[in-house]
Amino acid sequence: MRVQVDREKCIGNGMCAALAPKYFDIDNEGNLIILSEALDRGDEADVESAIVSCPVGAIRILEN
Amino acid sequence: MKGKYVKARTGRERVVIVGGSLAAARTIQGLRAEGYAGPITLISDETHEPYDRPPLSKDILTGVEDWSRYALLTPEELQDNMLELRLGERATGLDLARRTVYAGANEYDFNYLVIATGSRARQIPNARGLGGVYTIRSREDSEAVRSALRRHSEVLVVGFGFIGCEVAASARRLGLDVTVVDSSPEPYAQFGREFSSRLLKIHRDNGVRLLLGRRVSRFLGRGDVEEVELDDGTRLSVPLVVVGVGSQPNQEWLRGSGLTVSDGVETDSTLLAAPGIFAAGDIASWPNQIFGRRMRVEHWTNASEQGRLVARNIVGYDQRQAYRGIPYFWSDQHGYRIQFMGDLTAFDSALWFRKSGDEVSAVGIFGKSGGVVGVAGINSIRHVMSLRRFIQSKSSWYSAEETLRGLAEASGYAQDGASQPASI
Repeated sequence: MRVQVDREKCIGNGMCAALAPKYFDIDNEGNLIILSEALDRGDEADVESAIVSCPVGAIRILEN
Repeated sequence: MKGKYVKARTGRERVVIVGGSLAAARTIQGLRAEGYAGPITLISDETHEPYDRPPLSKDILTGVEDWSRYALLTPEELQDNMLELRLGERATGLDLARRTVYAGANEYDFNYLVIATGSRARQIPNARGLGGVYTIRSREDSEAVRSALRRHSEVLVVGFGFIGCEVAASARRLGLDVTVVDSSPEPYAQFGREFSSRLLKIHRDNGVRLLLGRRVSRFLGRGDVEEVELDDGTRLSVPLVVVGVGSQPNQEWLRGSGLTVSDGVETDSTLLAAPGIFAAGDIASWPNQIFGRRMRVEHWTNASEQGRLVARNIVGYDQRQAYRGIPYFWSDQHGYRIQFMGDLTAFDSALWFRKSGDEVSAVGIFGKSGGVVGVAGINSIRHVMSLRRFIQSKSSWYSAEETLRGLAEASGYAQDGASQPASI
């Protein structure tokens, strides 16, 4: 499983960085950094919270 | 609250959702994600499938009018043959004993009900009937304002809340002459001068004229608005007015239902209002264990998270989880990102840091009784998100302050003003 972000939709809200800091980081200007695309087992709940919290629905979990 | 659900008279299990916006959409997505494959009926008085509201005061006004971009449910999610959308139908009553929602002449039996009817914009009564005066809450409102902003060269915004602020910013971006009127002489002063002065500066620097401490007393015009009179006698000649003076919950349809409805629909900590009946989003009033008080939150993140949790609590009804959300919202104005996190209705201390050499970027933490209750920021997205955990864990003010100082030092921020007690 991997984490995917639609960069075009991303508005740099940053809640993903607060909820799943292993996968997302953000700078003060709202530029998103994906720290890891591969989703580790046990992290699904955190990334799902990030998906629900993203105001533009830019995050998805995909099969490899 | 305990309670087993009762099978509807038809004998078939059904989830009925009243409301057709974000909380409703998240409930539908959540139910399917949690493995519920049964019938779902959504009843909404809007004629559109669920769509997102934040763009109504921003991208829709200034950019390309592409509504497909803002749909909350994908075509695949809508093609669900156990999902029934009853659009353009307004719920008119709820019969708890019969477990039935009334929408005009139609009746909908349910096993589980999700009340997600949200809120609506407050209207200014004395503008009623005049063309050219708008609130922004629905797609139709946004389409009308978008069109009006392109036909006129000036606009009056009534209310300097976040809707008013965003509309003012959008109108300036389109090149209109913008005046904002607000009854408060010092809007946002309750969050400290560090915040309010910066917000006013952002707008003034971008050409917004602010008339503060004044109210609209009359709208004048024949057919369409032509002039607005303020309570100090000032007369403004304006062809277009956008009103943002707050909102109120769409709860009238529940009058007499037996549910506790005062400021929203009251639920327990798991968002349950009565056996098998949940509320989610703007309309839900719930006891937030993080802050030790009942609250009702009209922010996007709240509706999204509550809708999702309600789905989980329907499928796992006997193991319902409490909603422990941290209120959060963001606003984009004149290219600046403003963020608020936590419960800022009462705090006794505040500490702000500002970016050196930058008159606007700043981040602040808010404390109460030795703990952290809130964070706010302007163009300090990383700092705001880094400080969120202190609210959640009820950490001491001291540890949050220490972390903030460290973040500040590493990023060229300096303390702004003194750490003063703030009064509410």
